Amino acid sequence: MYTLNLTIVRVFLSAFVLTGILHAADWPQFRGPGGSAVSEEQNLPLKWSAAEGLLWKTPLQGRGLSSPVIAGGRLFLTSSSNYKESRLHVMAFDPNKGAKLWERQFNATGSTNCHPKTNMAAPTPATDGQRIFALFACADVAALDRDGNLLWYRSLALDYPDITNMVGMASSPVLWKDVLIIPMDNAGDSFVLGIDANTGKNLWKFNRPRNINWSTPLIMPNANGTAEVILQTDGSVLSVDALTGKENWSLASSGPSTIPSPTLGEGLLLAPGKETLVLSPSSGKKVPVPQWKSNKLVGGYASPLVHKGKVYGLSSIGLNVFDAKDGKEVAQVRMKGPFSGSPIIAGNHLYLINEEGSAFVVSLGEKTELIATNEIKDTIQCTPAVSDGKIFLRSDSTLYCIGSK
Amino acid sequence: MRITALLLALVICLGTNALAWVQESSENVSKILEPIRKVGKSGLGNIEAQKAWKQIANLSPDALPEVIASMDASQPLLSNWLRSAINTIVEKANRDTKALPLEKITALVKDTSKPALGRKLAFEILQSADKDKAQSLIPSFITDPAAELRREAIALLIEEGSTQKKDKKDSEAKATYRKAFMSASDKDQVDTLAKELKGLGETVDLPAHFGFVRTWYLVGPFDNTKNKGFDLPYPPEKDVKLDGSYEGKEGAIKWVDFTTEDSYGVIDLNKVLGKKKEAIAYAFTRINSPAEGTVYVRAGCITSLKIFHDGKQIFARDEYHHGMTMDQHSAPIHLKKGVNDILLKICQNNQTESWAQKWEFQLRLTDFAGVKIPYTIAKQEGSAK
Repeated sequence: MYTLNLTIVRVFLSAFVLTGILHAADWPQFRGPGGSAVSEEQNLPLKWSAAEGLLWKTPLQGRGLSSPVIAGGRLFLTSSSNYKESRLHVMAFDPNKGAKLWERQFNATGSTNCHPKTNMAAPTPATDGQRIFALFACADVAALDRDGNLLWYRSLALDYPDITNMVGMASSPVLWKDVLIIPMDNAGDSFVLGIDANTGKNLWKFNRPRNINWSTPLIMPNANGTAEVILQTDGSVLSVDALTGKENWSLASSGPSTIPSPTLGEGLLLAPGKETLVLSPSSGKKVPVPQWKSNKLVGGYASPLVHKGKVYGLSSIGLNVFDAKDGKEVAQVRMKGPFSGSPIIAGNHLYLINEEGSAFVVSLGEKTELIATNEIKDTIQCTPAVSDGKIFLRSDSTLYCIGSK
Repeated sequence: MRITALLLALVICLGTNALAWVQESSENVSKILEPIRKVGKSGLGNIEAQKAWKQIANLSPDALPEVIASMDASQPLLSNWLRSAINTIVEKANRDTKALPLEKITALVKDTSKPALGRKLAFEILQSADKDKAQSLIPSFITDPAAELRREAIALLIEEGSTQKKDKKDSEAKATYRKAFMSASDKDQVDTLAKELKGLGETVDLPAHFGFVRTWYLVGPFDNTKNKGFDLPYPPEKDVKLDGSYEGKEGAIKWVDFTTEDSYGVIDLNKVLGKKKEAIAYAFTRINSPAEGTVYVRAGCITSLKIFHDGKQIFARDEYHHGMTMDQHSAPIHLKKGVNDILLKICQNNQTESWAQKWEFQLRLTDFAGVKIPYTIAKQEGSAK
């Protein structure tokens, strides 16, 4: 207990030192800053094709569904390769020129069984600009510094041999200060870990239902400097304290599902699924109150987002837009799926890319309308990343940068 | 003035890089590796290893053969720390155009007494530094104990056979494909070769090639209501009486002798025992091993599974209908010379979806690299306890 307390104090103190490393233009985790899928970037490209509008593209070794993450002037990406997807890659690129700065490889220590559509590089890594934390579907976690020096390595499959998900895991890690949150919901030994980002050791372990789940945890900061980790699965959404892993509240509901991820925006907490719950959260142990619900906010694997008083999500026909206050449907834009990635918003435009590489750009002005469909003609299963006036996409073979500078 | 400052900075940079290479004796390299060897579960020793990693990453490329040879699949954490440090040494050497010790690296690739994991990495380094040299080694990998190196040689033969077939040299193509088939153990390559050989009029015995156990005694259903049977030790887990009977979920049940004709040794329990839900079946076989030693039981099963060897549980996985692939489960067992009993517990749940109706398994016995081991099915009668 004494050790745990000391560790918690150290994590809490070092958090103050590290605060401020990330910048507005960074895209540090799955679905960008705070998992909001909203960037402060303005004037991003609106039109491009495989032949025009690409600043650079570079071939990749191995496949992946993970998104690029960008911070501290570096882009980090993961992939997996080999006959059994057993080779794991963590790479750093210059986001301006596409040059590979370094690559480190590892061998999977856990099971690499998965559905052929996915692979071991399905989770998106998390970075604070100084460090990169890569989780793979085989339950390997590698922590490296921005120059590729290995800081620590964990094989959760060796630590917890009953972890099992034969479909393949895809939830992404998230970082709050010096606590790395590792989602490991699965059909066997199922849990979420809070790991000391400096040492790789467990700070806490929160047991989860034995159920496969691809939802990425959400960090919900509180006004008093603490934060909650929002977790959802089929049948519930709940909050645990980011520093201690103690449960704050739990809300049972048939609404949330196991694929999309919870989202926070403009004072609303979205727990998406068959019937997306739109909640009004308050810090601490108080269970948030549902404001409205909708069964038109999740299509494919995509997660919804909140922006300027509206909630955007996918349904079987394309994009659906709701008034954030009351859930009244205000617009609909038809788009051709299927979508593996989620929509993002930058400036006054929403970007969404289907699995065939067709990128839909929707204007969010007075009218919500499709203004461009850009064809890259490659299989894209990731959510786009944006930073410094550029859009970054990855396919199974190529990393693309769309931009002009 | 500005140019002088820039030149000075450049000299300092070059000097720093030159200093960054550390030459160490073999004994010292071994000492530096020590903290990484001690890395354990749950992050144990990570901080000490972090310091050692930096020392290794700064070693001169001359130390590469020794560091690479320290990788071993039986120590996966050590191997991953080392692999990433080796990546760093090679990357720095390429950046500084410093020569790699390719002769020693080649010798390591050829040395089959060294661990497969390191030899494959040595081969990859050789491939990126001297492609022709690496290419010239590939044919010699055809009987290599390292599966990943053998895979390279088989891929080359598949290519050669394809060219021969295109050139209408069928008998040469047959010989090439057959040679590759004899060494192949990865399913994708075996399947390709089997298809080519069959197309050329050859006979291929896939289950025999993979080492699948085709003959089993099966009994069931036992009760698995609410999936609770997984942890209930039904009588076959205590004593297999092949000539006896048990009280099952639907009344008295007896062992059924069954041999599968499936190419991949799949036993479809729905066909043998009838379509059951919330049920458990046991499968038993007795094998004769010509030698004592550690081998690998590799199983595919779409539902929850337990594997027992001579009455001792060696594997358990409680997961339903998330896909079945060959070799998805693997566990080491120590076979004794002579008779060994293998018992499986295969569970079925209550899911009603059309994709959740399968109740089947497959099992084979292999070495570490996935190549079948020699064994025969022993005579099975009476009690197996």
